[in-house]
Amino acid sequence: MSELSRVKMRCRRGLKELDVIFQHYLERHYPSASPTELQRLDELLAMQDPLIWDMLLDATPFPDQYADLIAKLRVVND
Amino acid sequence: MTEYKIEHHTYDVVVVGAGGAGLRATFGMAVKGLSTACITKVFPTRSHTVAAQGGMSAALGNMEPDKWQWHMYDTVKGSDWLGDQDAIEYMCREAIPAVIELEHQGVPFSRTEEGRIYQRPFGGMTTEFGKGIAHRTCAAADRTGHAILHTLYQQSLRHDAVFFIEHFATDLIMDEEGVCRGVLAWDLANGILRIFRAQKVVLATGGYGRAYFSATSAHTCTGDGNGMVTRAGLPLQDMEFTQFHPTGIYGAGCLITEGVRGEGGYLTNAKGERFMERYAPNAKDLASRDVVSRSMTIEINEGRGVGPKQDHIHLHLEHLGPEVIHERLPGIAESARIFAGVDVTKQPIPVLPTVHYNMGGIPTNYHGEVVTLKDGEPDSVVPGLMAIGECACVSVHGANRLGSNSLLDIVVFGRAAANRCAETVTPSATQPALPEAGVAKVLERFKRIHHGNGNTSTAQIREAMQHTMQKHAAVFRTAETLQEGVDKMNEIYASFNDVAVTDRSLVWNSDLMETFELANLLDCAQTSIQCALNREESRGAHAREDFPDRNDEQWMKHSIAWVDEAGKVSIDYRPVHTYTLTDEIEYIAPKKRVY
Repeated sequence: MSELSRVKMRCRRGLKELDVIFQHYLERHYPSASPTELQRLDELLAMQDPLIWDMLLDATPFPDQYADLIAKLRVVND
Repeated sequence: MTEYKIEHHTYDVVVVGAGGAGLRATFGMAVKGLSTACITKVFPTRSHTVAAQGGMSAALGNMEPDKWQWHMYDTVKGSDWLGDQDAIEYMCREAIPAVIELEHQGVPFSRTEEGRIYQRPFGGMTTEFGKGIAHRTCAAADRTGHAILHTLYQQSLRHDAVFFIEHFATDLIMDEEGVCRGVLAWDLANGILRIFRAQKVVLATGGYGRAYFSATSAHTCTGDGNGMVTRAGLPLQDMEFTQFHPTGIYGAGCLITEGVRGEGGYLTNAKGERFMERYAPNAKDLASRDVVSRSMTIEINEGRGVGPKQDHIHLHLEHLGPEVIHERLPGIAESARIFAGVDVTKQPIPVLPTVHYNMGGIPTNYHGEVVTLKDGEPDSVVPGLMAIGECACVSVHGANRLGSNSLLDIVVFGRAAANRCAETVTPSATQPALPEAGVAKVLERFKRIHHGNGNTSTAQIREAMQHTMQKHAAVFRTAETLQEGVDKMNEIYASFNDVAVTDRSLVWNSDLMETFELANLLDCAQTSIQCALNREESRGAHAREDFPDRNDEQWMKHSIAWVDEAGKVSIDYRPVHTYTLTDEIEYIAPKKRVY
């Protein structure tokens, strides 16, 4: 089993916004992500869609350890 | 089939899909003492229902007097008289107990100061048959869909429903008499194929927005139930009716809410002209979704689109000022920045009419039972099979759905399906063995696709389909453009025979799952575009430039379309139900639909 395949499935969300954001991440950042970042990604993917979206919009505070990952996720036009 | 590890399961009822409709049905069946399994390809709270913010309509009359009859009138008019009035009466009446039940089950609806459920106005919802503005829509802040999913999932677990999460259902198991006897599902995490036997299979698989290039729906919306039904030799209904939202962000498809135009946002073309003033002198940018979408499309088609390809439109908020934008339109600035790279206080947002909802789907009666035209009988029930939610066509939305009637639809008909099963299914009744031929057929198809060793990738075929549907079966429709699209779609449909599945694994194989999904989307696209070419009138969301008027004499009927294995579509019709359920309301006769 490829780990990427599993992550790909988990990146399929209920909100279209998150589909677009995670798909971009998979293409742009996943291949070069550190083990720590992948661990954070896994944790984030286990959360509820509205919470993830609020974190991305800065509408809710989030723990510092997600800051780098969230900064990457926020950019889909690069 | 020794290649596959197969496990067998038997339940009274199997529900496929865990959005709002599937969960309401699952919960309802379990409460009634039926052994119930729910199969879902994504975790239940990640179903696309989570995206529904607006709310759910019901004539509770908490803000001012309201009646389900007025709600019914609005829905019939919204449907442009293609909705079945028995089903619409059922939905609008049952809306009231359905909302109260949700409240008791734990959905945190927003409240008035007196502690009643708060209700807000929504487009198309009126009082006294169009005279006043109704406050009819109940919401849990802007998280109504999420709150409903959460509550119903918890309730289902509490009542011992069994969930098969991250399982992909591929096909219905039918017997020789045309009775649905079960379903085949693939366990994505470990590759096991599970053969489910059930007295009833309930499809609640949602819409098929992904058949188009630009859609507001999540990537999971691939018409899986619709595909299963066509392969079982049954028709899909009213597939030509697709609702477009005027303001999807160009490229990404993400939705910019109507509220933006409500707060004073406006659209311009390449000349900087506020063109909606020409198309709708009174309502202007606040005209209904179909009018705005059509006007935008005409501007683009006549060469006045913006951008290097002149293929989209600008939505302006700059004049509102940062305070108004942040206070009244939370999230919009961030959304525009993320998906369009635009600072809304300084620049317009690039937008495009974007697929938002599928009115068509699997034909059912108001109990949720799948029906078909058989031996001249248009309401012939398919034994063992039900469909609810966006994948179904009851038909309550007819040619066009009103905002806040979709959350209502999923809850009311999820509940109706459970009530029907409580009447028609004997708990733990002994079920006969599954038909060997039916099981062999679905396993062979699984194997054939799993081993697809052609030359065209799933992504290539999907892109060709999405672009063709976007170009030829979107808002602007003429015989010429549709025919061109039908010819292209026939080729694209045939190209699936040459599909290449690169990964042969059965564990977390996203490529294989997307290939199964593509097959389902192709059936949706194929019926959708051919029915659009076939229907020579304009009604609701289906606007033909060459047939600009509604033609009740010839076309007040449901299209039903079958697809054979080669992708050939045959079309027939079912009459619209021009009668109500009770004598508490009379049939609402057709009128011109003007707002």
